[in-house]
Amino acid sequence: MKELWAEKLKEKLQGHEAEQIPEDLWAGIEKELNAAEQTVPFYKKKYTWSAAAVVLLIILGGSAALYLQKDSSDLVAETTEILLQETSVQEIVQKDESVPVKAMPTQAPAKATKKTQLTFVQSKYEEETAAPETESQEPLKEAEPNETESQEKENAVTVETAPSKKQEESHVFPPTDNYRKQQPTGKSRNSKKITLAFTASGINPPTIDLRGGDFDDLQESINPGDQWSDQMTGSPGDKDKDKDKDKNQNQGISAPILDKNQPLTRAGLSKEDPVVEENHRRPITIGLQVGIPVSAKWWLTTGLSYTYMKSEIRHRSGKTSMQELHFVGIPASLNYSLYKDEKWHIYAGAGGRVDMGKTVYFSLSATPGIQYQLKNGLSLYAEPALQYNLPSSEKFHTYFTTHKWMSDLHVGLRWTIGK
Amino acid sequence: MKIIISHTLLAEAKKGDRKAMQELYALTVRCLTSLCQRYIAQDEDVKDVLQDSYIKIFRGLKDFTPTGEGALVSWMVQIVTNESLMFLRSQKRLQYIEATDILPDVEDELPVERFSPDEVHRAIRQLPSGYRTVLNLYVFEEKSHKEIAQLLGIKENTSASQLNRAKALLKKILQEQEGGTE
Repeated sequence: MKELWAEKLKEKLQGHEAEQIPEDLWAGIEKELNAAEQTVPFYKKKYTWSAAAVVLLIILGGSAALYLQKDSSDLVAETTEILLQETSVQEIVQKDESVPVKAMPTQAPAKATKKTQLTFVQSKYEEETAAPETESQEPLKEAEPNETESQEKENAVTVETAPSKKQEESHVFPPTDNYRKQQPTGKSRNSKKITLAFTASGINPPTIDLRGGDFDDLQESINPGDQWSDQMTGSPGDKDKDKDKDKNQNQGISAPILDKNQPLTRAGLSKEDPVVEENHRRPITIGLQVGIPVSAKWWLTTGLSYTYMKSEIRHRSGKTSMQELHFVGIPASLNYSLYKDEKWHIYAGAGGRVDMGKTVYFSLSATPGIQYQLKNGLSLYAEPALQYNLPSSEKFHTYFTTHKWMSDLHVGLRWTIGK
Repeated sequence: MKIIISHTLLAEAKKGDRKAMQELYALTVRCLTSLCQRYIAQDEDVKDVLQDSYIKIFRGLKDFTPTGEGALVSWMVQIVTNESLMFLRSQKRLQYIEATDILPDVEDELPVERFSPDEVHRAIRQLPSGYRTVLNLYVFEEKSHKEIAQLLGIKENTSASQLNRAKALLKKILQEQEGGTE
């Protein structure tokens, strides 16, 4: 309860109105309201230059981070890469004492200078999957050419040198170093499917899926030729392959990816212990963004994001290693407000992001988003995004290179500039 | 004078109807100008603060939910008060005159009843900014000295002494006005 004098004073001026109002006050208000409704040119916004400075800092910071990160090495990733580059079909076959070296159909070098072609005939998936497991699980050392031949017949899997009749369906796989340049177009990727069985080795026959769409998965998943060695050396078509050797010599080989449902578990096929499977985990992305209103409904966002990608790499011996990659990203998107109150903001947006790390990825995304106002323009946001990963450097296999389209959840902190 | 704002007018203004907004402005501008003038002495500054306040009001109107009669005017008053205080803080125009001598409390009988609202209003505007701000917050916003101290970043004792001196000076100004008019 205030003192009496204060009560009287408040009562005296209750509802008091000024004798005069400031001149042209309404005109000034109206002018500002009109200006707000119009789309003010971006470069005229008060905060444009501040935002530009922030973006510039982010770009410089990201570039610096990228530069510094290049100097450091990701042991696992590089080990995988080196392993892939250094292993060849010949080396694997020669080290595998259970198969005769003379049956080696090609030199199968990894480097582009030594190019070899292997041609395989498409066989039916049903035939391959119908192969009895008991026969295929025989140990490698017992696998001899004759046995291999008979097993193949039993399994009704045709593995022979490409006859002229089926030549049109055959695939030629360039070596690891240069096969990227020759990979099939998107149109043909899903149109052809080749399955092969490891009948000669006596192991549980895995499905090798050579659909073109999986070529991206192949490069680092299996060493060139190591999947082929058993089959090549034990198949009745080896002689024919040898005949075609010269013909195919200028072509390279690559390796298929294994069906993850039928993993290759036999150990000791090669002392090089090649990679047989990659499992790319969904990336985790967090961000720090600024929101820049463009008009009452439209606003831009940009900032900095961090993406963590983890892949499990399984080797033939059964050992697994991890590939961990870190990316600093710069997202930018244009958003449209759908609902807004003091705390909540629901919107839809579209934009892109560049992720920089040991390699660079570009992606486009469309997203609904929800934002919760914390304090002083600072908000938490969550955006379930539909993301399209643009073709980019394929130095490393990651979730981005194996998934062109992906759903993702972006979360982070956002500072909204302006009113 | 009580300001009456119809639901229809509010609804139209919330939609962004310019005529409704102008009508709302016309209904409230004199009252809010008086309020702003109590905090800020310079007319040009009053205009700037009022303009910013109205822009804020109109932009925030679509999100405003009236909770009862007079809620809209109270909300507008709050915005003008906040904008005025922000302006004073940004301009650093609050002059706290620290007294070296201890003045006795002014008697409760501040003779406001003998003066018109306009005369009292003019008298308040003549107070130094520090006195005026503390007086406004204490009397019209009904803030405690602790709250005033937090708002203005001063000590509670300073707030109390500023109020005491504001009251004494206001009494003096009113008496001088009374003497001048007689």
